[in-house]
Amino acid sequence: MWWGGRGQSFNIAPQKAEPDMGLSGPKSVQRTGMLESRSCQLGSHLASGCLPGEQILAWAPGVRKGLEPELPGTLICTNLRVTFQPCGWQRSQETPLSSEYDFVLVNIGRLEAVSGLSRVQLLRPGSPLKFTPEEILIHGRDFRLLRVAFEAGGLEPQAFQVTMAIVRARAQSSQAQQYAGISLSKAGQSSGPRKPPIPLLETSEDWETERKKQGAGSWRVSPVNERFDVATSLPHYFWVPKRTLDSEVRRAFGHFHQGRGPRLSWHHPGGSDLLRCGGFYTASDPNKEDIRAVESMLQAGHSDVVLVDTVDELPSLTDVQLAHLKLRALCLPDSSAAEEKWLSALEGTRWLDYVRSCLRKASDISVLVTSRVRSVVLQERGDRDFNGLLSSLVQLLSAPEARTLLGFQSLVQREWVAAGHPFLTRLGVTGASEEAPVFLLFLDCVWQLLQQFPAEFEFSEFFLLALHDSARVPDTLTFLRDTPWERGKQSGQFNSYTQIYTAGYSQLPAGNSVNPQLSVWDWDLRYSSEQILQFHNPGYDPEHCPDSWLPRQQPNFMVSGPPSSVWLFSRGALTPLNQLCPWRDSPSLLAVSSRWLPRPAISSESLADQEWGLPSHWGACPLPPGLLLPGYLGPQIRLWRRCYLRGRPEVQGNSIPLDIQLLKL
Amino acid sequence: MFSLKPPRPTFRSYLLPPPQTDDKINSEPKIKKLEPVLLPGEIVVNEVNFVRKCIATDTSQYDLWGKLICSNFKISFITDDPMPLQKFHYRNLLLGEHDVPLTCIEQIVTVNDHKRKQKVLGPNQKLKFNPTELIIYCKDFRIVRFRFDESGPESAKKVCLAIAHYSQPTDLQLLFAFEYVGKKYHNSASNINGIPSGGGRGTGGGSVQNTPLFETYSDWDREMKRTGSSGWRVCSINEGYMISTCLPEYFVVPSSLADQDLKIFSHSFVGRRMPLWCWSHSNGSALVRMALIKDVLQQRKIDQRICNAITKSHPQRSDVYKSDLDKTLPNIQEIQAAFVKLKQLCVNEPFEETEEKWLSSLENTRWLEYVRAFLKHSAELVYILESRHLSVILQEEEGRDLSCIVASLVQVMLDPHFRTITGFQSLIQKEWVMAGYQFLDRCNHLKRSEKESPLFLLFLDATWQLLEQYPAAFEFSETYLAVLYDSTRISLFGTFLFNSPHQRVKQSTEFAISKNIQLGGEKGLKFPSVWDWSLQFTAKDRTLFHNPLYIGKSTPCIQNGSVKSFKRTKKSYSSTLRGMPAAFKNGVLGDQDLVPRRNSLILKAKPEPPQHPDGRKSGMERYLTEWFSKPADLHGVILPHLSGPRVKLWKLCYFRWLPEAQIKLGGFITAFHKLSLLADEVDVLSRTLRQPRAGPLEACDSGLDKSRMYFRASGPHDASGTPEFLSSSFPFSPVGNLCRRSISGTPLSKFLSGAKIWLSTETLVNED
Repeated sequence: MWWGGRGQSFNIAPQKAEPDMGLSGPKSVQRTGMLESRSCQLGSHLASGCLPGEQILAWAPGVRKGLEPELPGTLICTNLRVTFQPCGWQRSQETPLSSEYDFVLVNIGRLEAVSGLSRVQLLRPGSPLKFTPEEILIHGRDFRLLRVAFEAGGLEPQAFQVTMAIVRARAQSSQAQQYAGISLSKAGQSSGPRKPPIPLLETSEDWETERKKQGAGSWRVSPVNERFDVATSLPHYFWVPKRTLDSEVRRAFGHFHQGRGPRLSWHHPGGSDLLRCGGFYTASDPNKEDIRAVESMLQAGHSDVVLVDTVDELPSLTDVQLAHLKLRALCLPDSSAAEEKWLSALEGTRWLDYVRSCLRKASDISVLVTSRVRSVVLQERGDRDFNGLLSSLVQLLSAPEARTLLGFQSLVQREWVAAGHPFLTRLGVTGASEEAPVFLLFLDCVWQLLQQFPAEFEFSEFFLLALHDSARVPDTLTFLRDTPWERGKQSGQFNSYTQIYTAGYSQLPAGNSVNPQLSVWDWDLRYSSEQILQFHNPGYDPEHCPDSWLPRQQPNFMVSGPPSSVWLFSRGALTPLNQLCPWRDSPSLLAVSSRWLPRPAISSESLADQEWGLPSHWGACPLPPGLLLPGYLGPQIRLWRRCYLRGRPEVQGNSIPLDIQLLKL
Repeated sequence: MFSLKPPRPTFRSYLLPPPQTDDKINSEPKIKKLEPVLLPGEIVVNEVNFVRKCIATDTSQYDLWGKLICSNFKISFITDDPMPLQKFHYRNLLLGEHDVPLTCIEQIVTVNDHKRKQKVLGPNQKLKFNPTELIIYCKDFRIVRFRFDESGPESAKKVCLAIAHYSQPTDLQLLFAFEYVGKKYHNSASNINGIPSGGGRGTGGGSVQNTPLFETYSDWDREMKRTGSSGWRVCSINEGYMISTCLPEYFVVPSSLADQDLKIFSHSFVGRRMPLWCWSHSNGSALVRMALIKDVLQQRKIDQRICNAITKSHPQRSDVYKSDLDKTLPNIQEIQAAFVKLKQLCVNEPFEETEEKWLSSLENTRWLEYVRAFLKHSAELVYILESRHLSVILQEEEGRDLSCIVASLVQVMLDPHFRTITGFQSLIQKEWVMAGYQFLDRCNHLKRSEKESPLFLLFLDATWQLLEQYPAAFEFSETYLAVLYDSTRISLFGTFLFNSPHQRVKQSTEFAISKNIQLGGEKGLKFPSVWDWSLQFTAKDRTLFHNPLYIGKSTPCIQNGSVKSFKRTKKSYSSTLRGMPAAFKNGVLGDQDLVPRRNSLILKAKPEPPQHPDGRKSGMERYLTEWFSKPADLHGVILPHLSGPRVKLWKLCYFRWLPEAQIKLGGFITAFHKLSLLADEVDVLSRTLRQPRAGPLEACDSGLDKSRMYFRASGPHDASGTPEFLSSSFPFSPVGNLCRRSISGTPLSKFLSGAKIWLSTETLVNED
């Protein structure tokens, strides 16, 4: 096991010689001498591991427990992270953050101090420590676990200090501060301006290139939001139908929730378009022209339009958050679930159930997009959570390009980062109540796909883990801001040593600018080249090579006049609609947001059956090339063990992931 | 043509719209040509024409037209219609695509939807209505459904009754294997050249030649030598089954026990089953299985004698550890109950209704819990044998049920030989077939006993768990395990047909006499052996049995006859997978010194795991902790992970016939495919290296027939994508079986999800 399996190994350089501390002798004899040597070493040793701007707040010697064998070392608390530094371990220059020993402060989910066998205190910000801890347990929000037993023998004050320091540092860190030092430590090494590894979609050229790549001939890049005056949560640029004027766009978008009107997400090479938009702003009173603009944007030149009620059948944000919390509790090493009750406990979290419903919905939508040339509009009130999740999943299922490493990163950049998914709020960095790890739910869905189609994805499980963990690392702004506007505002203006708070942007100190282009996709800033090599799935063997895909036929589908058929897709079935917009006479279509409910039994046929008239699950059905239909029945959804059970090494075991075996071959 | 009564207006048939008459006319000429493919000795009992096989519940669009035949071996549906869009079929040479062996039938339901009646057919029962529909539930979780709307009502009824009759025979000798073998013997008597292909060696199939059947003295002798056991001897007091009818003729006992003693002791054991040696560890500890001593007065004394004798056979005179399986493991009824629940979960209940509750329903079946219990207990015994150097006695009342599973699992974990195909087969011969596992009763071939229990499947499932956890440690693939399980329900092979070797000899001798077959010097008829895989699969299809991850490091340690050798294969393993993550784990290659940091079995972060007062227990935990903290030697001991998330459902086995559970172009098989290509390439290259003089092309050519991979690399840089026919069910294809997806809300779903196993009377009235 060498990677996140135990959340512990992939980031360390191999330890060739441990014994520079002279640990071979019996501990009791050497303790004092050892401590001295350790403290003098600390100066050089600890500082060497520090990033620019990082300060050591406290440290104490201790022994890491819970994993075999127990490792002696030092527990260090800085203003960025908690580190357990094993004796003699040299931090690799290539990996400023070790996924084994480093716990970034914002990643700490729960802190416990233990004394004796029975005294356990849950450490909350501001709560005083009631006893000198013998042991400290740090539960990462990324499911990792660090358990350190402090050394006895006169060092209790240090143990106390470091524990309190962690509590305080963690309390102060729960802000959206960026530690550019992480990326700086390596970015500084390379000279010259870096080119972003993928287009960050901050310029209109990026959008234009991407549009051409998709072959979306009847769309254009609209600069209407260049100054964020249409919507702050939207990117500078987006795609709108070619025939729609910017003034019409502006007009139409005003009638959507938070100004998030219909934009193209993805153009299917077969001709369909996948759109996303916010809910209709029901209070507005659009005039005829406005309605026409809205309708023509939704219709996007197709005669067949399907409105998808995104949240229907999907969990609410609260559900997702609750499930994630339960899942984390279940995956703790001391979780009370007995082995025989493991399955029902897992079911009780409902996490897998939510994964399942996302996959099912995405599968249905990809059938809608593939089976017929039409405009499929994902509509979610906020348009910033599940729209992104579904739209990305649909593209993964239908577009082989999206399954490549670059394609997937571009996809996330476009549908999540640029589209304004409120990462900061949802990942709970701000401590706001609207925390809901929708993005992590998405990564789980992707992992399920990777499991079900091991040969169809260019990226590996390791890559997904790295992305999963990066969500909790405050090094670049990618996951540290809620909107493109905030991200744009921030980047380039901060000093690497300064902590920047979300509140009060006005008082930003001017400083040396960091390359604003640095993003989470600059993997080489945090990962060694060997690790990045492992992002590739050795089993990648796509049946449909991205290049030799469908011909880019461009059917002449632009129709004038109203669409001939309008549907609402809900509960797995298509219902005809009289009109696209709710304002004229009927009440709002999506005014009542549906809650998460199981699909009614009547719609027993899957959408694929309805569309192709042949049960697709027979496996014999000729699916359109490139389309994957995932399994979403109860037994087909699995737990992402290597991610969630990293705190329980005994569950991981010493088996090797299959893709590594492939590598070996 | 037969007139079709229009359905009563009150009853809406959700099942199928009445077919067009044109179809009948079109298909008529075809049907006349349809002839069944019969095996020697197989006869057609009854048949009916103009039958539709339904493969979807809500539409007749894909129904197949053909003839339904009941023979004394199988039910066969013969059709010219191709399966819709099917591109691949893993063919069993004994069975056609639509055939079901009679021994695989679980339940037969006839329905008349005009009269709204249904009946579960038993043998020798009457049917008061003409069936419009026949639904067959198979033991392998398939459901097959036929409609008789256009067939002659009388002949349809006759076929249904014939199937019911022949699938539930009253006597063992009515099973098809007897007829088949009888025919073979007769044929060979008339054609002098033909020697009956028997249950033993000499048949052309590759693996059967190598698989010791443990029917002879020499097989046992060889096995003792292979394991390097001393202090044990092969004993032949049961020759001619003089002592016990449920023991093999030859078995291995402590050398210090004389035949005379054994004869006296044997009376005190249940079934006269005295201690049987199973296996010896290289440290001298032996694994022994034994029935209970029923004679209470003698119990202590005999027990003492046996234990002393086993101690004496141990080179270090170590103690004996006794494991009472009846007390520590679930009993056979519980296992059967769990299996029935599992079956209900996987087959009956439409997934839509259970999917949210899937995990807890699965848990409630307790099947995985039982699998875990057996793995756990076996792992504990591995510790006793391996680390504490004690011999182990498995004690069970009759010593022929749970002991079979535990004895086999212990050996699979300890001895890499049993992780090869030949080794695994010899293990099944040794610990199941010869040790008197009651296949006839436990598989319920005669459908009358209450003794049915899927212990053999449980063993295969537990083996699958090990295979899943250590994919490179086994020579065989999960396809092999699934096919092996299927073979228990083909009544052609003698291997899984009898309760004991004696029963085979006795019954087949009786049969031979009644049929006037000259047995000559043979003990009973020679039935075909399951291990002769060439009877069932082509050489190409048999390559799917091979695990690509195992290729390239196969069994160097077995040949020199000592188990000790698997300890010294470090050299060969360092080049294998296991060596690699050690160097690779820290993200940097090329450094073999690894931080001795591995995973522990000690789970609790706090408080410390309580120290067991019992020293052995903590010793056991220490052993496991230590073992799990090191990389596993795949040619040494392997131990199972037992935590909740690690024990899984064997999806290929239980879901392969469920169309709705199939993931097209997905599943593990796509990785398997890729692996196979790579393994094949490595194979070809290494062969090329070994033949330096031959040009690479010649080497490749000669290599082709030797290739052990189903998927082969066509060239050095084969870039062909995933074949389109791959799916998560591969190599099985669920198409053609009744699909359950779109049946919720229809009357059919009601009776698919009912009681007994299958039926409820809610919608349809039972006949009686």
